[in-house]
Amino acid sequence: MNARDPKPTAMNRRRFVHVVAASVAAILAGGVPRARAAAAPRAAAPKPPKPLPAALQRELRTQEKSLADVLKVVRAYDLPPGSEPATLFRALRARRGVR
Amino acid sequence: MLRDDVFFLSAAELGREIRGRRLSPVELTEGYLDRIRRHAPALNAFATVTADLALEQAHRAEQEISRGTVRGPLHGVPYGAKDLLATAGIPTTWGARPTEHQIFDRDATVIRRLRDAGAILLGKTAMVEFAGCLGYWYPNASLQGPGRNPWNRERWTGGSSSGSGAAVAAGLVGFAIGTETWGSILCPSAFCGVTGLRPTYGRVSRAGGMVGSWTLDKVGPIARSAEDCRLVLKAIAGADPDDPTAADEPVRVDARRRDWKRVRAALIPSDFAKTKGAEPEVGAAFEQAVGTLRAIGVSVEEAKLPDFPASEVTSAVLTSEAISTFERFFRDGTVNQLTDVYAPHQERIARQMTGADYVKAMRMRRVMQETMAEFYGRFDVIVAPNFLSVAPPIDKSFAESLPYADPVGAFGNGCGLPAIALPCGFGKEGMPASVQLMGSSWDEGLLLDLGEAFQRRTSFHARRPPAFQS
Repeated sequence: MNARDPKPTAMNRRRFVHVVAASVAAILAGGVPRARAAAAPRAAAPKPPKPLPAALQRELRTQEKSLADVLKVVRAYDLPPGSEPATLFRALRARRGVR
Repeated sequence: MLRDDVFFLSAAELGREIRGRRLSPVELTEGYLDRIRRHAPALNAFATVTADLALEQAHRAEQEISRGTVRGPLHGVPYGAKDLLATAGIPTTWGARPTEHQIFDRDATVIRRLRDAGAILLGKTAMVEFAGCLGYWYPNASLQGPGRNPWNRERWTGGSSSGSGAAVAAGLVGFAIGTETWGSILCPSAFCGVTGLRPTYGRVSRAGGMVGSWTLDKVGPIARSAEDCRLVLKAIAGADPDDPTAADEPVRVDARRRDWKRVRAALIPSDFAKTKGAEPEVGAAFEQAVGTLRAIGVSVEEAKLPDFPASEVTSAVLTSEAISTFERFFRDGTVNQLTDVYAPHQERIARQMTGADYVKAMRMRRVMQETMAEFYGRFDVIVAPNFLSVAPPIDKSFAESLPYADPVGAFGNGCGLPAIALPCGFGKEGMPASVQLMGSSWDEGLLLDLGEAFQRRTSFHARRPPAFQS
């Protein structure tokens, strides 16, 4: 443990008391599994995602905008209603004799 | 022991020597394997070397040929296949960490057809992870490391068929197979100074190949000459019950005598002086290439591409299909194992796109196809620079090193049109420059004939990178 750790002993004690109190309350409420859940290590709680580096965020915003620009052009393009797509859906024959 | 120049013979020449029993497929295969051992690691060119299989196939070819059974012009010719084509019992990494240990139990149709043609599989060539369909922003986006260019190892090979381009240029294979969704055959062909053919969409079966984008993926040869591309295309093209998009269009790609004066080429001009990232040396090489086409007799006329948002349409289709293709890797989190730091964020970025946007893009694509069909009513072929600059440095982002657009590629890939990349000179630091010829659907025959005519008048395709002569 190095000198820069912020008061680890006091924190641990508070946390211990909190966990015990929660466990007792859960047992009194009649739910042992819930008590176990309360006593489970806090690590099980989802961690907030690490913030992305600023340069990465900047580039991702550029990419997001680039796709937005593409979509703007696609959405603004005027097509006659019912015009054909580039690929056509085709019905599939029954697979006779498979049963 | 074979002379070093044997390893730089075209596949057509190798085949002729083998059929004439002046060259042993076993000796040739051993020689290529030795070169791969010595040179491939410095280029990051191979994902897997299939030495045992290659030697087994070489012995079989030798026995068959000595008995007088000749399967065709590629019989006994060793090649490399991009590592997204399935090979039974051999790893197929797709160039990516999440699929590093993937092994299929069947060969891709292209691998099977080449085996039937008597070609010898030397190994699986390195590639950009997932063929770049989640986008990639740096040359290092590959499980096998950045593709290093045989002309200068501090420069990139191009991608995503990186190893296929490098292996052909460095004389490590007789020819190679690449794939293109948007640029992945033409780009490494340009940067490595080799000849590459992107066939028409549906010309070659994709069965057993990684899907990047169902409606954009194409499989084609990267080789040392247009003649080689023809031989390989003939061996791999045609309908396939395992790929419903493989067309039953007749494969008429045999060499034809042409009256070149009747061939009309649309020259799509590029402003090398004003376009950011364009290099005047490449512009000069391109001008010279246009001069060669005119000297052949082709009627070259300056033209503009149709006024249509091709880049937007092709890009919208590609993004949408790729996000769906690689959905599993987003769901299980393994997308985070990719080298490219931006790839894991592409699904979130693409959420702004709706199903209606994709359908709209596909409807626009039909209009784009019709527009290009009209364009090809006036012209037989489009002539354009393949890239406006030579291979970029290995450590630069593409935003920095390749900042210009690719309008011809957007139309070509969006409409599924064939194109051939031909080496046409050298630019900065002696790096190769390339011209592209783009034809109408199913007209690979014209591109190959014109490519051969071009290569009879030029020798850029026959040059070898100095560091890999021996």
